Amino acid sequence: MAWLNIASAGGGSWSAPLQMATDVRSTGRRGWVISAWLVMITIALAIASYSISVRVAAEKRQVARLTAANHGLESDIKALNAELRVRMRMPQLQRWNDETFGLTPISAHQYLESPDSLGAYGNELPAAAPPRVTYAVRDISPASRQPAPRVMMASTPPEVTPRSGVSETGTQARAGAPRPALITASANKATSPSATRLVAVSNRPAAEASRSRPAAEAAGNRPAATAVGQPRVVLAAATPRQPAAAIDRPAEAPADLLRQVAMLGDDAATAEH
Amino acid sequence: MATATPRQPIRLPGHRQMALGVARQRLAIGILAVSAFTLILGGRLVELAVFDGAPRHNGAAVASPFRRAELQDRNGVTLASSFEAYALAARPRDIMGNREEIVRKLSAILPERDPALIRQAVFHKGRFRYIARRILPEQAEAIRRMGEPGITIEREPERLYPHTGLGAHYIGYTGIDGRGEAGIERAFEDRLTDPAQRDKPLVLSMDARVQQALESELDKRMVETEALGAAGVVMDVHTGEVLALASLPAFDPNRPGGVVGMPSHMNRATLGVYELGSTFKAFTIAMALDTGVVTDLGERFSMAPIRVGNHTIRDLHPRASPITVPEVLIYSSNTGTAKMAERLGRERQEFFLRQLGMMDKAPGEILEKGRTLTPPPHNWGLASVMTVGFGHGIAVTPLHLATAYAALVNGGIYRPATFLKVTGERPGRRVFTEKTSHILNGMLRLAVLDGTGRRADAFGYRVGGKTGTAEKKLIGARGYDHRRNITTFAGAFPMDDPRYVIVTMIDEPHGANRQAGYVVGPVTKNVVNRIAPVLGVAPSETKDIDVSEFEGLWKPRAVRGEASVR
Repeated sequence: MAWLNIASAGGGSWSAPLQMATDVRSTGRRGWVISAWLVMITIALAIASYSISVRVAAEKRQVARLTAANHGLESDIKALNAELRVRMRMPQLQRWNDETFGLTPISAHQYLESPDSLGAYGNELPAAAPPRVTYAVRDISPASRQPAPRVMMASTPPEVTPRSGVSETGTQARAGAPRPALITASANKATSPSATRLVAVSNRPAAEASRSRPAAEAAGNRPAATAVGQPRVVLAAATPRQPAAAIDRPAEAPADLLRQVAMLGDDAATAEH
Repeated sequence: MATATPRQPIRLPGHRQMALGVARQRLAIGILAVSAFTLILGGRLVELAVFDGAPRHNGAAVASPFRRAELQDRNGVTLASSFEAYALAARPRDIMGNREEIVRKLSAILPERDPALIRQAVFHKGRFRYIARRILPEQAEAIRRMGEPGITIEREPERLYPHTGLGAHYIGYTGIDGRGEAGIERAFEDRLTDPAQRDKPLVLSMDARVQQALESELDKRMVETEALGAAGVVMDVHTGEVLALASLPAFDPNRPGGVVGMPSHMNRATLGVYELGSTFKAFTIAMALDTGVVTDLGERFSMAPIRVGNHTIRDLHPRASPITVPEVLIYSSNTGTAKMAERLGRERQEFFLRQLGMMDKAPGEILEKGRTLTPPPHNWGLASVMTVGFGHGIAVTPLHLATAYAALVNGGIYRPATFLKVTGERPGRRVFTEKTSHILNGMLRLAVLDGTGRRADAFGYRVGGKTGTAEKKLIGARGYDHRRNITTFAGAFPMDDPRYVIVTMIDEPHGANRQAGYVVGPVTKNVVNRIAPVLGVAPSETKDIDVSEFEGLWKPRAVRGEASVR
C-alpha cells in the first residue's frame, strides 16, 4: 500500500519539486510504519487462521473417529442381532418344543367367553364324581406334558372318606386339565396295615424328589411303621394344570423331573398289584 | 495546429483537479478489484478450512455397495438381512513366505477345509483364486495375523436368512453375486437395492408364526403319509394378504445349492398347477345360486350316473338319492354339481372363473407364477363344463384356490393376493352377492360338521371348508392314475365371520386311505388350533354360524364330529 501513497503524493507535485522531496521522505517513513503494521497483522492473521484450521481439522478427525467407532458398534450390534435371531429361529423353537417342552395350543375349553361364565365357573364342583376304586393314572404323554409337575402331599386321617380327599382333584379334572397323576388308597383298605401303600410326595425339585423315593419304597415295604398305630391314607397328586402357565412358563428341568415322576408312578403302580 | 510554434501548454486552473480526480478514480477501481479478488480467495480458503467443502457421506451405505434392504414379516420379525462376510483368497504371485508353511498354517486355521484344495489354491499359477468363500471373523483375524501379503481377505456381501428354511419359497434367496433369484428377493430386486430405499425394511404380509405352524404341520403329515410334496396357504379374506405360503419339500436359502427346477426349488403353492377336485364344487353351487339357475335349496338332484360323450360321471359314495343342494356339498356329489354346471352353461361358467382369477396367472407379486390349465376355447363343450363343475379338467395353483375361496366367504368380493403388508382397505371387485356368500358359508360349515371335512373341525374355531381328492394324470398316457392322488382342503375360519382362508394340499400321499378328509383334514385342524390364538381368533364352545336355514335339508349323522369318521 505504500507505493500507492507515494504515487498519489507524486501526483500532487506539479509546481513544488522541493516541497515534494521532503514530502516523499516523510511519506516513505510513514509508509514503512504502515508496511510493518500490515506485515505484522498479516502474520498474526495467518497464525490465527492456521491455528483455527488445525483445531478444526483436529475436531474433524475426532468426529471421523467417532463415526468409525459408531459404524463398528453398529455392525457389532447387527452381528449380535443376527446371531440372536439365528439362535431363536422358528424351526429351532419348534424342535425344542417337540423334544422337550411339549407345549400344546390352548383348547377352546380353556377360554371363558364372558364374566357370566367366569361366575358360573366354580359351581360345577359337586358334579365331579369321586373315584370309588383305587387307581393310578400316569399322564405324561408328550402332547400333554406339563412344564414342571409338582407333586403334593396330602395326608388325611382314616375316618375321612376318600370322597372329601379327592374332591380337590375333582375340580381339577373338571377344569379341563387331563387327569392328574393320582395315587390313592381307600380308607377301609388303609386300616389293614398290609394294604397301605404309597406315598410319595414332594413339592420339591427333582433331586429331593429322588431322595424321597427310597423313603416311599420303604414305606411301601414296611407299612407297619406308619400304619400300625394310626393308619393313614397318603395321597400323591399332581397339581392342577394352569392353562396360562402351561403356555408362558418355560420348563425348568422338565425331562429329568418327568422321568423322576414317571418312575415314581411306576413304583406306585407296581405297589398296587 | 501543425504549423503553430511549440509553446507551454495552457494550464487552466481546473486541470490539475481534473487529472487528480481521474487518477484517484482509477486507483479506487484498482484497489477495489484487487481487494475483491483477495476477499474471494480468502473466503474460499476459510470455506475449505472450516466447512471442508461439500459434506462427504461415509456411512455404511457407501461402505458396502452391495447392501440390500432387510425383509421383515408383518410384526417386524427379520426374515432376511445383509452384512459383510469374509472370503479368503490367494494371490500366488504376491506370496513371499514358504508355501508349504502357509498351507500348513491355513489348514490349522481352517480345519473344515480340505488341505488338498488349499494347497491347490496356494500353488496354482494364476493371479487370484478363492481358498474359501466364507470364513468366520475369528478365522479371518487369525489369517490376517499371519501377515502374508499373498493371502488376502476379501469383504463380500452376505445375505442371512435367520429362520433357515422357513418360508423359503415365499422369501426366495440370493445368488452368489447377491442378486435375488426367487420369491420376494427376485420380485423386489429393484426396491431392495434402490439406494434411496434400502435403509428401510420391506415389510411382507407374512406372519412368521403362522408360517412356522403351517410348514411344520404339513411337513409332519407329509412324512407320515410318505407323500411327494405338500403346499399350503393362509390368507386374510378381507385384504388378500398372504400370511403364510408353504411349499414342501423346501430348501435352506442360506445354502440354496442345486439349480432352479429341482423338486425342492419348485414353488408348489404358486407355480405348480393341480386339478384340485371337489374343492371347486363350492364355486359351482355359488355360481348356480348367484345366477338363479338354482333358486330352491331344497331342490333334489339324482345321484344316478350321467353319461356325457365318452365320459360317465358317477358318485363315489352314492347315498339315498335324490339329495338337496346342501347335501350335494356335504356329500361331495359329482353328479349334482355336474347338473348345476350344465344349467349354468359355458358362458357363465367361464365368466365366473375369469372373475375369480382362475383364467389368469396366479395373483401376487412373486414372479414364479403358474399359468392355469383350462379347457381350450374350441373344446369347452358340455363335458368340460360338467367336469369343471366338480373341479376336474381345470388345473390351478393352491394360491388361486385360496384367493377364490377368500372371495367366496368374505361376502363375495375378489381381491388378488398380495405378499406385502396392507394398511387400510384394498379395492376389490364383486363376484358373488352377499347372500350367496352367506349361504355358502353355512354349507361349508356343514361340510366340516357333518360331511367329508369332519377331521378338519378344530374345536371351537368354527372351521368350514371343502375337501378335494383328485387323481393325477397318468404319465405319458391318457387318463388318470387311480393310485396317485392330490388331496386338498380349502376352507375358512371362523365361519360366523370369516377372517382367514386356509388351503392345505398334500401331493401323492401313500397308505390305505388316500382321501383328502383323512390326509389333510388333521393338518388343517392342527394348523387352525395353532394359528387361531396367534391371529386373535377366540375359540368359543357356544358360538357358531347359524345353520338353521338348512334345517330339514340334510340328515345329521347319529354321531357328529370326528368320532363319526370311519
